[in-house]
Amino acid sequence: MVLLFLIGFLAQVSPLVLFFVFFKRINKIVELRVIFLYVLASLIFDFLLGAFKSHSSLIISISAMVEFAFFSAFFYLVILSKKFKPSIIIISGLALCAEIILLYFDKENFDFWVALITAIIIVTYSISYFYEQLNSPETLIIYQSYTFWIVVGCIIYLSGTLFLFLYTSDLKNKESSPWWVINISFEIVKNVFFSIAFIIARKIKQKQEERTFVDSF
Amino acid sequence: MIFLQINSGSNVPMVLFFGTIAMLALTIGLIVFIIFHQRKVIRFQMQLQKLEYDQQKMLLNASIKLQEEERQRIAADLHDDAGPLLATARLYLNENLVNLDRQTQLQSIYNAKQIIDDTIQLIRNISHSLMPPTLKNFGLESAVNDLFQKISSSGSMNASSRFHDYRERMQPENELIIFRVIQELINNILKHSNASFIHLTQNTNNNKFFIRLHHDGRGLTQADFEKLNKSSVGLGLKNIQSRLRVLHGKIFFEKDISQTYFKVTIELIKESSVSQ
Repeated sequence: MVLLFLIGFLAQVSPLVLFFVFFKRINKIVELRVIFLYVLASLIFDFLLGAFKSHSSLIISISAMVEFAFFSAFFYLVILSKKFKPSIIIISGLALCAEIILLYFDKENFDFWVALITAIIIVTYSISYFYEQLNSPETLIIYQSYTFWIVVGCIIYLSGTLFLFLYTSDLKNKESSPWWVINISFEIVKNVFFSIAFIIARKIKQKQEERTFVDSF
Repeated sequence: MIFLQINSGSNVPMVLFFGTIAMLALTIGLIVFIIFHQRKVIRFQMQLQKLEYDQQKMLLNASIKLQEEERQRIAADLHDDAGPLLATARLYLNENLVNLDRQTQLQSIYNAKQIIDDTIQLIRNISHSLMPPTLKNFGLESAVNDLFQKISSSGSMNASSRFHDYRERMQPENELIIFRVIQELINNILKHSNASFIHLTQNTNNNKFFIRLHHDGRGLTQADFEKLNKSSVGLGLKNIQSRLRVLHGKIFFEKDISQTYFKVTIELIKESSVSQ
């Protein structure tokens, strides 16, 4: 378990380290900045979770909402359809409002609803993203795009942890439950995919820089 | 530890375990499907591109081959006809220098003049076959009418043409392309169809320009045309295709509903619409 936590921590730190290592090349990519901020926020929440164990439920709930907000922002940036972009703002805005209301009125079932809402909405966004990419003439090979790896990381993490969060209210001592291994494992997978995305983004930027030249007129 | 929980009696861990597995399988399935689907689409697109490239190569080869054949024909005409004629004329003139008898001199000058006239006519014919003067001076309608009149007057076939809407002439180079296509089609009909009549009509509809040929002989259908176009034979048809490609035009070969005539329709976009 300790080893898993250690791997989890390393996996969580790796996208941050990679972002700083490739900072010059990838810091202008807004989507990656969003993911960097999301990973940073997750790390902060994990520290808070360790520091304030008595408020763990509240911290997990808030972190779930922040996670949803970051994922929505990411999909807002990567989905190019002008028709779909306003829908992302409206749907995610309404979902966030609903989650805040639920946090205030129904703390017992909050995790269930947040997990359900997040999973449904983000999976819908992911499918829209895949559909758009498959129909885009600019997409040559989908897995050569860094956004693809981030989206894959998001949906694998959300689908893998969906049932855990749906039944979280039935589990005693959430973060100490053996079932929490699922969450850590999928967080590792997600962070590995994010790290791959950062590496691919750097390679793409490098190729673009090699192709550009200045006319000496 | 997880397996111990599964067997612990409560229903929740069971659902949690299998639910997670199912969701994960679904997600991975979706991602794998997307990747494979995209690869399949890419492979299909590459095959299409290759086919198009092969077709283009074939058309280009056909047009080069045709150009070479045309050059050979002109070279043969000049070498076999104009060359001997001019050589004979030279002989007559030489004889004129040697032979001082006035009567013989006049006769040889007359013969040389006759030969030079024949040569001029021959060169004019070659020149006309390269660029019909009627087409250059009076346009497509006159050139086609002229061509059809010549066919009709040969007595082998009844040929007629009618232009319904050709008030403004096209660009000369476009007129030449269309004329060459019509010439090639007529050649094919004369050579292969055994038809007793050909009728050509021209019309326009919206921004389209149509030329339609009817004949009652043996003809081609669109399937035959496409088949010949893909094979190594049918050089003339490939030439038609490559010429029409320059004008972004299309050609359709079909049998009339009455099953008695064959129709060949050339469809082009009107020049005014292209420039817009």
